[in-house]
Amino acid sequence: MSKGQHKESFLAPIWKANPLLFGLLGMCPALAVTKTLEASFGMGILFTLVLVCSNVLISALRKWIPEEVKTPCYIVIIATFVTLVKMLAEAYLPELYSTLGVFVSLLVVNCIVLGRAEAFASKNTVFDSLLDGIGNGIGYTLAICLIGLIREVLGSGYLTFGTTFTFLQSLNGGNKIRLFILKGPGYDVSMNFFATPAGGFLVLGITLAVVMAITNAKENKRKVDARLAAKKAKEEAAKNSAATEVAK
Amino acid sequence: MNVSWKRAFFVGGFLAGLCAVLGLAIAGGDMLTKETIARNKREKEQSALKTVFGENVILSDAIEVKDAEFPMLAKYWTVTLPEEGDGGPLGRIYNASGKNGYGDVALLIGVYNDFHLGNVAVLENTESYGQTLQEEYLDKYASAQDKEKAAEEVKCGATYGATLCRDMMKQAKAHYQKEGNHE
Amino acid sequence: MNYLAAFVMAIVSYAIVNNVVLSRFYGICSFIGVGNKVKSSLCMGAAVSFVIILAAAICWPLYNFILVPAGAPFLDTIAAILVIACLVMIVGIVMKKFLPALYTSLGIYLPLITTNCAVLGVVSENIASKLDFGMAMANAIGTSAGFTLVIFLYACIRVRLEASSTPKAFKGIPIALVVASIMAMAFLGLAGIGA
Repeated sequence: MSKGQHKESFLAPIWKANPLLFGLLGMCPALAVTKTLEASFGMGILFTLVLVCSNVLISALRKWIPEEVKTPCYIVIIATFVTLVKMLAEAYLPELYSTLGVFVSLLVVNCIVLGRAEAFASKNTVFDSLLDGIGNGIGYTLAICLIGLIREVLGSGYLTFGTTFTFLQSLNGGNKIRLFILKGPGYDVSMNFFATPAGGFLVLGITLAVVMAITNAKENKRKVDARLAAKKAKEEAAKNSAATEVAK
Repeated sequence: MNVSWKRAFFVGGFLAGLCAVLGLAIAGGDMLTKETIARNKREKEQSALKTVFGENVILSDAIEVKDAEFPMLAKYWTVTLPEEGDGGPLGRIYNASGKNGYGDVALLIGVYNDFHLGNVAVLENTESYGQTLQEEYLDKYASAQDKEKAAEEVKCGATYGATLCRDMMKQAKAHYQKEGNHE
Repeated sequence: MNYLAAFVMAIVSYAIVNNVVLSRFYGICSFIGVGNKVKSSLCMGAAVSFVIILAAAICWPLYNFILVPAGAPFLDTIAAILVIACLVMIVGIVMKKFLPALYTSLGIYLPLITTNCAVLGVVSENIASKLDFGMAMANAIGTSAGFTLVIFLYACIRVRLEASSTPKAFKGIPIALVVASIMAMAFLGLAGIGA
């Protein structure tokens, strides 16, 4: 693989081939843990850890894993890393662990992790799989943070830091850091609806529609540009041929 | 035949080896993190104790509750005001836990010595609807002025869990009243 | 309240009030992917229900009578996913042999069930919430009933949706999520039942 392709396997999943926004995969955590920005970010980190580790191990073992039992092997490897990440989270980020609850275990059946194992790590080198894992991890984290940001601001009116990452409280003298956005002294335009599951579905649906609309608009512009360029070229050619006619 | 047997052994051996290695990795992870997890739990109890009556009070050692009448209560701490204040008794903190069809809940319940409910801290909440229980019942309880009334407001998205918490608070209060009248 | 009443109440609660797809977010992928065929949605529901109930019935004793006494409760996730994967395979083989007609109509969904979060979700929830066996089964039965109900309703809505003109950007999954949002709002009205 050339250097450009290395870059591509890292950068593409961040926007162009984002696993959530364009791949439409991994919706279960994107709805379940995105009530707050912090929880979404935490989930993104755990997801990235699992994805990178499983991608690397699977691509390192890709020549030995027997074809007949490859999916069970992938699932067992992923489940191991999920368990390890779960233990680490319980030990070092207990607040995050209790916020995410059963959805950490559900990373085992996350379509993205299994999908990258099948589609990428089983066919590419360890280094490329590492880049692919980090790229997809960052892309997914950014996407769910976007959903989390929208839902937290609309739903609670605040942006709060320090609930799940308690060490952030030391920045503010032991208290949670709270930014007043839609709700503050004397005004409150927040809607609790967005914190409910129904609000989660709505936010994700509209976000995906906006992304789709942007893609469609870009596609249309490209088509129009191409058509204009073709028309222009045709006119030029006609002019040129007319000019040569006259010259004759 | 021979070749396919060989293949089957290879596949079986590979799977067994993989599972063994990964199982060992998980066991290693467990050994590494077990102590931290247990310490977190102890620290959580200590810091939760401080949130019930504030930090400036003196706690006794934990005293076990062995009364069959109050199965939900495990132990309690008596709370007194510090010497430089009036130094008098303030109340008790009960450690209560219960279980229903949806999971476990463990609380620290503060009761003032006039038998009114004080703050409650959550030690464990593994209810399936734990989040709802926290938001719809415990958070409302925490911000309520009239704790007795808030404790009775159990109708929410997690009614069984709320009922469980209410029963724990009732038992804590009743136990204090029973012992307090003897004193 | 006696145990039977609690059991029935728990099923209703898991199936409707705290619906598996609309408030616990399990099984969204198959919810969105199952398409507009009412019949195949019911088949999918039946297959998932079967696996959920069997997996819960196997994993509960496996965890409480084998893993916990052996001092390895941390192997729960890996054990559960292995049980589910094997179960799906066995169900496929048995069905192919004895019920070939059903297999041809369900066959394509079977491998997908392994990665349906509803199955692993129920099993992990039973373990994490330390439910007893009866309540664990109530969770499994309620969840599978709720899952079947919701994908059936969605398939019915989808038939109408296809006949109407959706804005281009909303076509496909975005409109499915908006529909799910409205369904979730409707189900939200049931919160508090059984108080």
